Amino acid sequence: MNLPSPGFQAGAVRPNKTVVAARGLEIDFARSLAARLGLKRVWFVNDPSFKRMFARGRKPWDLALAEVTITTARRQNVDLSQPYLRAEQGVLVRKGLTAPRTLAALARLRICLQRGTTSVAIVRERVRPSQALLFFASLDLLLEGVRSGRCEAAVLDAPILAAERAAAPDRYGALAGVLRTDERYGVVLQKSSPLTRRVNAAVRALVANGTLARLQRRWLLTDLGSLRVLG
Amino acid sequence: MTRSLRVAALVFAIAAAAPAATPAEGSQAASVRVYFLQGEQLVAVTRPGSTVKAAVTALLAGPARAETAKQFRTYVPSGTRLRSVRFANGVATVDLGERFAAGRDAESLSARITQLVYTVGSVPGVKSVRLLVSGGVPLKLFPGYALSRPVTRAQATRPIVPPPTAPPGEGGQPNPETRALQQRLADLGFLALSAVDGVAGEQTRFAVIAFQKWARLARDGVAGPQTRAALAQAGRPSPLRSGGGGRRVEVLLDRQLALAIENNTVVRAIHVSTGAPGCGTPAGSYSVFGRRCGRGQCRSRSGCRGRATSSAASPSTSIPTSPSSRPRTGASGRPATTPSGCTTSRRSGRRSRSSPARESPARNGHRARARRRRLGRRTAGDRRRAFSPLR
Repeated sequence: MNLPSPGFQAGAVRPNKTVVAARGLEIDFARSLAARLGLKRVWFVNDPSFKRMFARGRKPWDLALAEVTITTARRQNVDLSQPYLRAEQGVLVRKGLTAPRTLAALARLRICLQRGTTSVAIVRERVRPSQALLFFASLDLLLEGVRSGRCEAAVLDAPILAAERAAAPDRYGALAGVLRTDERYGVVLQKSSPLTRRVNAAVRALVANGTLARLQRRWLLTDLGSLRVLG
Repeated sequence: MTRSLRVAALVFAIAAAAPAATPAEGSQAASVRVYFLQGEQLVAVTRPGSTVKAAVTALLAGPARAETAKQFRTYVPSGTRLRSVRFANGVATVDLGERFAAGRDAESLSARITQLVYTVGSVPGVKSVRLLVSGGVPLKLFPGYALSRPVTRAQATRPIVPPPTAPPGEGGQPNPETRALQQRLADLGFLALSAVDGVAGEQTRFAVIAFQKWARLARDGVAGPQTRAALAQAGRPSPLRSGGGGRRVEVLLDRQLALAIENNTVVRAIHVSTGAPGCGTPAGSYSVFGRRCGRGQCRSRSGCRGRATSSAASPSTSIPTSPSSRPRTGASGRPATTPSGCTTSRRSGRRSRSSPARESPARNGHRARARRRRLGRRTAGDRRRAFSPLR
């Protein structure tokens, strides 16, 4: 685990790094996964370093979940499972605004972005906004911009926006849709772990039987896979 | 024989009392303050004790029955265990059971942190509070709080928790006592006549708050003995400024009340929330250019309310009892923005600059007079016009 991550991982970390009072989408997902693998008990351990997860060598854990995007570079030192979540770029509109249904309608809105994110290039190239973009230094400021109405739409990773919206749904408008990036989240395992094959089968089964859609509706208020694709 | 026995009994009694005397004296004099919520307000009650442990134990126990009757409520889950308390160098470390982090409602979770920090922070000597959940440092369990460091009372913002939708005693069967209260409020103009139905609810609570504001009582929305006594003697509110027939609205910034006036008679007094500190609603006289009604809320409660200034009245179902409106800066309105993110009202027409004092009821400047003018269409264009200068 790589706490904290709103909506995905929250909990209290003891001095020995074990996590108690854990909750979130990935916590529930880990429990479902364990049940699928026939395990009785799950221990959650926190590692505050995201980078260390992909380092060479033996790991003090069997599976790691931390909204890890599947890339070939990361496959060098660890195994990555089948995808369990589609992480596109999400479009969150302010409260009271009719959600844009097309890319052209989105382009007419005042769009806000978090400075330094991959969303900036995606919006510039694919949305071609007609109004000047507004940039914010942090996620909190970006969200404040949407809540106060300065921004008509914010574009950022859909899971992040969905989780923040789920924490206070009456302060935001709808999650209008996604811009496809084909990013997918996967489970991290030891390199050539004997578990990889079984985890892959379990992830596929949990996606197929609707467990992941249900967890997304519970923690993100919406199944990210069902959002309108704007472009 | 009898005398010696009596002496022996007395000595025994003193001996028994002696060891208990010192701590008993200490706790008799001292009391801790424990914080609950009533309506939207954080309220303190006192409990015997002088230690952090006593304060937390009292908080976990929740409001007493008499306090619950006054609609005090707690957001600390019942059955939360106190694991341990440490206190050193002004920092009180409170280790609570996992139940304290139960639930997912962001407002409830942040309200209970405020309750805890205020309660523990009221113990003399405590400067900040460190919370542990089942021995662990909470990470993102409580939205809006970074709990890896101790939290001070100043950091623990007062909760913005809306009152429960139906507090005990609200809804259900009509009852004659509620009907009498509603009728009295309606007679005085604090409640619409159509809302007199004998069923306590949001409209009645807002009407009580409006009256409490007018009578300068505590704004809790509960018709307690004080409020009822004042209500029995009160008359219909009168306009602060006479003159000018027709329809106008006075917004009393100091009382946070709007008076709808027709031919110099107050027809309705409405509970409003104007600009928050730093976003003050400017004083002056204004004309109303347009009106907006949101999803039937304003129609059902008070008739269509004009927007006298940038933020004089917001038709919301949960109106704070103190000035707290922060107007939106929509892309279409484009009002001037101050560094604090509040809109200023430079665009308002005919602002009387001669009377800057806002909070004194004796001055003219603290009320906004508004003439209403209907606009046929309600489009974005009209809304824009509502903010533009008089033509």
